[in-house]
Amino acid sequence: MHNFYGLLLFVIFGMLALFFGRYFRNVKNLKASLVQVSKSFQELDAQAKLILQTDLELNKTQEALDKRLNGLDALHKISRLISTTLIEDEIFHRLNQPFLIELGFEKFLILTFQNNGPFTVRVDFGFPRNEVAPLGKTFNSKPQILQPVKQGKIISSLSAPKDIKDIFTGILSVRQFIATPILSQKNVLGIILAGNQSESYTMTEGDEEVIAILADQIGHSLANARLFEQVFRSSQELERKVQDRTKELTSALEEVKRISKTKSDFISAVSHELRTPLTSIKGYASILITGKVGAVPDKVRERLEKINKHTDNLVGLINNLLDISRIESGRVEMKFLEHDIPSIIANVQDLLTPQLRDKNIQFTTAFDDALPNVFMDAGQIERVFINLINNAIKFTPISGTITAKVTHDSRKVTVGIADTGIGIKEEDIKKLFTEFYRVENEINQNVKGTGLGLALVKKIVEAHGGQIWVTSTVSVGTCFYFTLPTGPKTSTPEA
Amino acid sequence: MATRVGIGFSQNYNTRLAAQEAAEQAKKYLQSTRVDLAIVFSTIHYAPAEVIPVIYDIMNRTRIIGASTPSIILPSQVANRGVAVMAIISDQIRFESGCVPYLKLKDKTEAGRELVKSTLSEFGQKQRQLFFCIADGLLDGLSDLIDGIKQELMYNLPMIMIGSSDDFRFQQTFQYYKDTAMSEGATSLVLGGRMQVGISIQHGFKPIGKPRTVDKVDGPLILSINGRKASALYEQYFGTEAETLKKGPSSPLSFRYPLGVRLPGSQQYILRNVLGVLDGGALICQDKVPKGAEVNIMIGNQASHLEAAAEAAKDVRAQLTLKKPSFVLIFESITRCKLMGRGAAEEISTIKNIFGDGVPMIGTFCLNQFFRFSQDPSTDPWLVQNGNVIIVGVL
Repeated sequence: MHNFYGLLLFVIFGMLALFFGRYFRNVKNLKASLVQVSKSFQELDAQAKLILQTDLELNKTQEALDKRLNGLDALHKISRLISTTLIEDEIFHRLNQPFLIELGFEKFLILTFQNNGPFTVRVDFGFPRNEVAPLGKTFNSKPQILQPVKQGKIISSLSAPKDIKDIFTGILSVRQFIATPILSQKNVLGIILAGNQSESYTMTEGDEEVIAILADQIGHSLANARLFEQVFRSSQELERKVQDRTKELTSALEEVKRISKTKSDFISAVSHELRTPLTSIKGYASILITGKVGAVPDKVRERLEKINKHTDNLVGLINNLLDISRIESGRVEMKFLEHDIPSIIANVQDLLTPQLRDKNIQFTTAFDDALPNVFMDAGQIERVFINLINNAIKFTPISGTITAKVTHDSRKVTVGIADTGIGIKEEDIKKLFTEFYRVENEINQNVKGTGLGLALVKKIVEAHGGQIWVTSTVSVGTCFYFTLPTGPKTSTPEA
Repeated sequence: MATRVGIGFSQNYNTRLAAQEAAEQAKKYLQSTRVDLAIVFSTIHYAPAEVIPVIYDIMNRTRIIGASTPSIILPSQVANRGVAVMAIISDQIRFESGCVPYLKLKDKTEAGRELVKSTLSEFGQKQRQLFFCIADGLLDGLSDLIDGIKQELMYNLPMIMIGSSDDFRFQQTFQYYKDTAMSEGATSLVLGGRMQVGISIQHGFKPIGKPRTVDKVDGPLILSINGRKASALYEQYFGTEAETLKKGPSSPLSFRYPLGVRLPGSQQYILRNVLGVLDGGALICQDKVPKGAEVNIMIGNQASHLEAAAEAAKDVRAQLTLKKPSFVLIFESITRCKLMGRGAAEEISTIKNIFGDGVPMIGTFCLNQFFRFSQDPSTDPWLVQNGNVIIVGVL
């Protein structure tokens, strides 16, 4: 029996040992698993730490990028606004807008100055109204504060020494700031001061760049505006001067016209008055010469013939004066009909043959093929040829040559009367067509003239819409040119 | 007439003109001189004292509620500057508003009860469907205000409270009621009648790392977590970067990596932003965290936040049995404004696409959010939260 109980106890103890052995083994295994789970948990936690720190860095970068993008966006808007005006005040008016805050600053102050003069506050943003004027006064009374910036240096709380930082943060009541010069090509035009008070704003080097870009844009716009202002004022001044001068010239022209009309009227009146007695003088002299009143001694006849001749000269002078006066005032009736120039030249040549033969002068002509007819007053143009060819004969020595050349193009005919005469000096050519002007030379001293011939020729040619000019070489010869338009003209009624 | 809604928005640099343009634009769509409710949001660039009286006059002196905001949510954009007005006229929906000024000087629980009484007294016995409140987001003790509101309201009434915000300077915010813009006050709106309301809230953050247990608290202060000073949690993960938490709500750690507090018996987390760190390592949160609560660092990205917004919008749509709402209100946490950055526009576009074109939509970014949708008071989430997008659709 004892053996049975002993065996039973043995079995029971054995089973208990087995049970507890397994139990403790399980507990040990569980502990090991727990340690492993705990370890894995720790590893996961360590990874979570890494993830969080990486995420924080990424977010900081993203925030900086967002801030930069917002700043660039704001810069773009500002740039468009200020570059579309050329008025300086308008530039600052457009800058004084709340979107400056999108640049990432709570406070803005923009100061300008000219030629080292005092600062003027042009833009203020984020400052209480009653603080703006005192700020301007502070900077003006202590110009040394902004002197480095005026010299083109950028100062910011990121890099400035503590004493300078304290000055700016104290004056502007900010924690962080930037002071940037506004530059043009030549000099500093102003200063931008931007700052932040709040802890939530953190300034970076990117902010310095953004403000520097803004300063550049403002500088360009200001320079353009000032240049425009300068140019505008100059052009206004010029306009005013031109207007004044135009007024003066108009007055002078009116005066000249008035004088010219007075002169023409005078000449016309005097000429008319002179012609009547001259006609009587010539008439009586002619009657006396005929002997109808009684026999005339030879010496008396000679003198009467001189009276006749001089009277004729006077009448000729008066007629020329009257013609010039009438042509000037448009009172000559020009009859424009188609004529050919060669036939007119031939007529004139015939008329002047005796004078040509007296001096053995050879007269030649040279005409273009298919010369068109020209609308002209044939009588007046004949007078032109008579005048020019007569002058050529007068100033060409014996056995010289006179050539009449006529060329044409689609719009005009050009006539040239060239001689191998004594020529005309340069200084005389300019005055040749002036009334009463006679070149000083031996021939003119000996041959009387009125000095009206070329003036009349010029008037007649210009009345036809043409031009007249002369080229000459002393001791070689002279050539007179004139043009006549080929198109039809309307005959002018007598005024 | 069913419900007509008009939205007006202006960015005119002249404050009065901006208010006028926004109000007139909104009213134009109503095709009526009558306006039942105007919701107004404006950014700090526009002095509220000038904005609100102008809008009140143009809206024929109707009920106005609203707040200052860093950005305004509109169907076509998220505007960083401007004045926006949503004008509503409806024969089916009943609105009533109320306000309590000078909250700082008052007992907030009492003030909450006073707010409810002043709002509901004019509402009458019609069926109430939603109680909405805007309080000054910079005030302390908003939980007490909510307590007071809850005590006065019937428990089965859904409730949303948001805190008005400014431009991240956390200096002064405004709340709008009728022709007045106030600070340190609260304004409220009750909606009811023949209407359906869909409400959803999401935040898009996920827990990361080991969960920890909060073992010592003092109101909104978390004193220790897992037997160590509370700030050690952030120090462990972020090293020296955790020092930035002392800067307050502007610290990136505060809004990007909030604390997630797990609701008991659920996988959902409510968020607490760390607003600062005391010398002993205690974390300052917007509102209390219960002792013994499980907490995690939370992480999210633009994609997860976008997904959250989409989920919220789809949820609202489902609650409205897939019908197009008459109007949609969006209340985004101010931290999401920072989180989404330039992606905020994409979020609104996503929401708009879910509701469909032509649905009038307006929203704001707010400090603090409280919401209660459940009819069972025992399942109330812990009071004030943050970091969420709340979408309300009204049909």
